[in-house]
Amino acid sequence: MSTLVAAMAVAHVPGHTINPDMVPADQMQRIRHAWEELRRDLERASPNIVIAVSNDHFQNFFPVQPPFCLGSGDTHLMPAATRAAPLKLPSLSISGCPLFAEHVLETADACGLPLAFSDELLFSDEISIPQRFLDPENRFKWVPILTNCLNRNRPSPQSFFKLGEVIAKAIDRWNDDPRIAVVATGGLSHDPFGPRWCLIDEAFDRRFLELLEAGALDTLFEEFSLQRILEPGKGGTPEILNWFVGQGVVGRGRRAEILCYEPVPVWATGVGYARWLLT
Amino acid sequence: MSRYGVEKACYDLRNEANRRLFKETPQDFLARYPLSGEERTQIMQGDVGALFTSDVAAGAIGELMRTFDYDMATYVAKVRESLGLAPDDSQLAILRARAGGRKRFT
Repeated sequence: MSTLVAAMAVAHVPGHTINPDMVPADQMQRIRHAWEELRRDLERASPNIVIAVSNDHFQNFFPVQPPFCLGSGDTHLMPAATRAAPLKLPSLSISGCPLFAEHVLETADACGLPLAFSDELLFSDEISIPQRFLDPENRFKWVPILTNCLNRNRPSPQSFFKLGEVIAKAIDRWNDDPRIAVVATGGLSHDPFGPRWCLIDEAFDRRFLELLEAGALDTLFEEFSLQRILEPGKGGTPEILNWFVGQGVVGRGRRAEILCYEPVPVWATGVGYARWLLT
Repeated sequence: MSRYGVEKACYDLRNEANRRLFKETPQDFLARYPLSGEERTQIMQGDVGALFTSDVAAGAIGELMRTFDYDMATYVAKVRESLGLAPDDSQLAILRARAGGRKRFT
């Protein structure tokens, strides 16, 4: 039986590496501090495997548009070569864990939520940015799961939560790697290519984080329906669905600690950094 | 209405050869996709606002933005106009700052 040793949620906006110098210095300092806190958490937790859940950005999920797709390869190129220059982030070969990936697929099927899989997912900012900030020495094995937040027919918050429960069950039933961490990643309110591009709904973001911090899952589901989540911008805000996966992994009643929230107009998004309290 | 056909055409514009074909002979390029006449016209005219109101995926419409070389302010203005939204000065200021790559935007 493996143990969940850390669970966190972070932003992955490409501005982190493309244009951090456009963000006000005090704001950028708080963001860097949050990354550093979480990097240390992960270092202390010393996971054998990091499961990272983020949304596809149209590079894999068209024309086939699965709800969730697990990266089952023994290595992952993060970011893909074509994305390295735009992201100002060198491509690195990141170790995967095909055996554990296979186990997650089997567990998911047994739980009634079968997942798609691929050895050849293309990665952009969605996991490459968190990987680079949280694991700068490239020490851990990463098992990525890409989600459909941005295409039509995206799954509901409840389905994202259920994916988290599946991951928790897979961790519980795995024996080969004793220590496993989970990173859920997505922006808060944002609307790239939509009418609210670069406008941030701070009230929406703060309420979402407040409910996570309170561990108020029922209220979270009640107030953050799919319809409500689309209101601040369907182009990006549905990325908060990935945060429901993190909550599903730790389970009902577990509270999150919000390390940092910043509305960053020039990055066109609200960014949040949080860790779930596991004890 | 074939949102799938519209999205497929737009996503295929990521490919350089497809973009070239679209610019040279748009009718030939679009003939590959199941589109209504209205959709064909909207894509040929780069009418991102009309496509947005048809609930085409934002990422797909973004490919048209690149194909037609719209800057962010122009693109957003078209989308907002199609939704009956007035221009937002604070938004325009941010979009212009991003486009200019200005340091330390507050």
